[in-house]
Amino acid sequence: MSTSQVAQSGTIPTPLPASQRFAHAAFDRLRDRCHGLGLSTWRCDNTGLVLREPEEVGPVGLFLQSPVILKFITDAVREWSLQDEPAICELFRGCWAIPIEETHRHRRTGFTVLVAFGAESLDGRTIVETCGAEQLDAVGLKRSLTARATYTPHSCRLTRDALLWMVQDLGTIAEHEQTTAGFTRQLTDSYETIDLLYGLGRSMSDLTQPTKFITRMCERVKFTLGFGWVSVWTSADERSPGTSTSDRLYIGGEPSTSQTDLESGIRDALARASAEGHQDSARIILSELNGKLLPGGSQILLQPIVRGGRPLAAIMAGDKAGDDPQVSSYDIQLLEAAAGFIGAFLDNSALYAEQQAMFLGTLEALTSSIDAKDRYTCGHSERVAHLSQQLALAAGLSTEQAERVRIAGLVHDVGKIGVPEAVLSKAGKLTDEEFAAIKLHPEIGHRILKDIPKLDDILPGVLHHHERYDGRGYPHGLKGDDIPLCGRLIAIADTFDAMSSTRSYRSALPRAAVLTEIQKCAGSQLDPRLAPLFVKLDFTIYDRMVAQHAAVQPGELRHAA
Amino acid sequence: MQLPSSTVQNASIRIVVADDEAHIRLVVGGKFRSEGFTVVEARDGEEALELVRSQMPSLLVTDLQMPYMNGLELCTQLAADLRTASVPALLLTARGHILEADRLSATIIKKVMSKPFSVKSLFEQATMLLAQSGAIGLSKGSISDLRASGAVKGEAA
Repeated sequence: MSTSQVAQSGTIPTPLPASQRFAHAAFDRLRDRCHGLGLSTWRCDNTGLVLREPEEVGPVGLFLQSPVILKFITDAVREWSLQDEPAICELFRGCWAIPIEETHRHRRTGFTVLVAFGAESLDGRTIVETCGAEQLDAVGLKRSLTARATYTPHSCRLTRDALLWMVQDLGTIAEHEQTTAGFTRQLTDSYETIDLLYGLGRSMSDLTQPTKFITRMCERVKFTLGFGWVSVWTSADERSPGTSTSDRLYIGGEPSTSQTDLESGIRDALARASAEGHQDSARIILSELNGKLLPGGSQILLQPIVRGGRPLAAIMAGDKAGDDPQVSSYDIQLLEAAAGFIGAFLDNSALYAEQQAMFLGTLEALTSSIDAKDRYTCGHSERVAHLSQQLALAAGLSTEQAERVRIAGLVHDVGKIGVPEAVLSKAGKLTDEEFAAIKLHPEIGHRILKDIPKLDDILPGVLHHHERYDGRGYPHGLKGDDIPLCGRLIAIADTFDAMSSTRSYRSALPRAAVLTEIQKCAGSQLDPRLAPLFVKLDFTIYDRMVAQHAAVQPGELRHAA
Repeated sequence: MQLPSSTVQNASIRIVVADDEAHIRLVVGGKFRSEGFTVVEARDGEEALELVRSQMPSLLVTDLQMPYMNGLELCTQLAADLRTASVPALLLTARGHILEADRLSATIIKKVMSKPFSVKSLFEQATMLLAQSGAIGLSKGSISDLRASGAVKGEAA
């Protein structure tokens, strides 16, 4: 365990002994059972002070609560508190008080007093005199007591023994209940923690959405540990993919501190910890922020996330709910694990994005070099990629699927690398042989790309982008929906871009003419369901791409705007 | 069925487990009992103080936050008493803060573990403390040997 720590230790709160919490419940159980045995019940402390009176109502209740009876009880308890083994005593003729000791930590703390009536009590003077003094109905009282006035000294002793056993058993039961409650609480907490860790482990696989992962993580940690808020802060140095270049704060919950205060406080704390030679990875517990004590004695737990040897991010939690606003070791362990998850996730996510960028960069370089072989087709692949993606989205494909279509569009003409340059840029009409050479490019492209891992799903788009809806295309002469969707999407984008740009064999057509042509080709060359979607696309970005590509081209080549 | 010799030897070793939470006593005490040790349980700091003085255990495993006397006070008082100063203690804590080294030096605490803890690692730390104080012998000084002896428990010796 690390000894470095940027917070005062605070005092160690003392928990309430569990046995005290259970004492009331135990008395209630005993009283209910005694009531069934025809016994009246008091609860007293050692000095004879009555803590609970009997619950009987009517004449019996009034009689039991009379000063005469109360004095009998008090005297009996005072007598018992002097005895090591308190004995049953006779309050008046035919009426006995049975002591049941209450102990706490092996010390006597008081008594439960049980009062039993025998038949003789009904004939004695006490009842008559008390009723006279208290103006009670003696006849009614005797009638009410008759049924339960069956005790004798012998049955009192037996009853006491049986009740003592029961009290012992009740104590054991209460202890077990307490243990079970503890286990249940612990188990419930453990389930929550396990569920959180499992969930985080599962969601770590989607590296493409760091913001979603981190926000979800904050929400879950807050929920599990009962903090008011949990947030993750990443510094600008982080330069993590999917996050902006400025410092970021992802928050689950509402902090009682303002976001700016929180951010500056965190930066201060990290800087101070670093200046004090604090270990970079060691947690910090803040009891104050920017010189101000946190409300309600709460604390902020801050766990740095170390990447490349520097604390470039941190997860923190504050405004803990419940009786104890202080940070516990349970919170620390979970936040440490969460920090580990986030660190690993950010690392992986950065690597993934880097790899993805490199992969796409390589593909773009490859396709640009092919486009460059023919000066008329500069930027063609990029534009087709863009339009195919837009059409895919318009056709209802997901963002991820449309991105794959975009990549397919980007590489659709890779096979042209195997077609002689003279044929590609020939100004006049092509001979049959030359056209046959051109027609090979989808298959050449397919061959080139088929061994690249993770490109399997885009291969059909490359191979079939020159198929025609009526089956008169190449290379396989597929018809209608037999043509893979990706191929049908690229075919429209490819046709559109070809007509929109000046080629070696003709000039660019105006936009309106191109769109009319696209609609005319629906059903013959192009998919009749996709063509109407295509003509409704927004071509703003496309036109910007055209302008950019034209800028790097000789002036004679122009696109129709 | 005969108990293995290590378990029989363990029976003469007493361990006091002090925690106000019954389920922690059950889990920790249960682990030591299953390894053949004799366990005495205390529900609060004062009770633990009495028990350590009367039982003279080989090890005290205590919680930090307890009624009447917390684990730190308990271990400070035990350190101040010559008879109990050599009893090693393992402190369990659910507090976020870390106890400063100088606060621990005046106690019999030899090891601090945070809750939630793994019972297996707690047992490993405890056996290490018992071995250090010479209460149990470890052949070749290895903990894994001891664990192995626990693993074969129940087979005829």
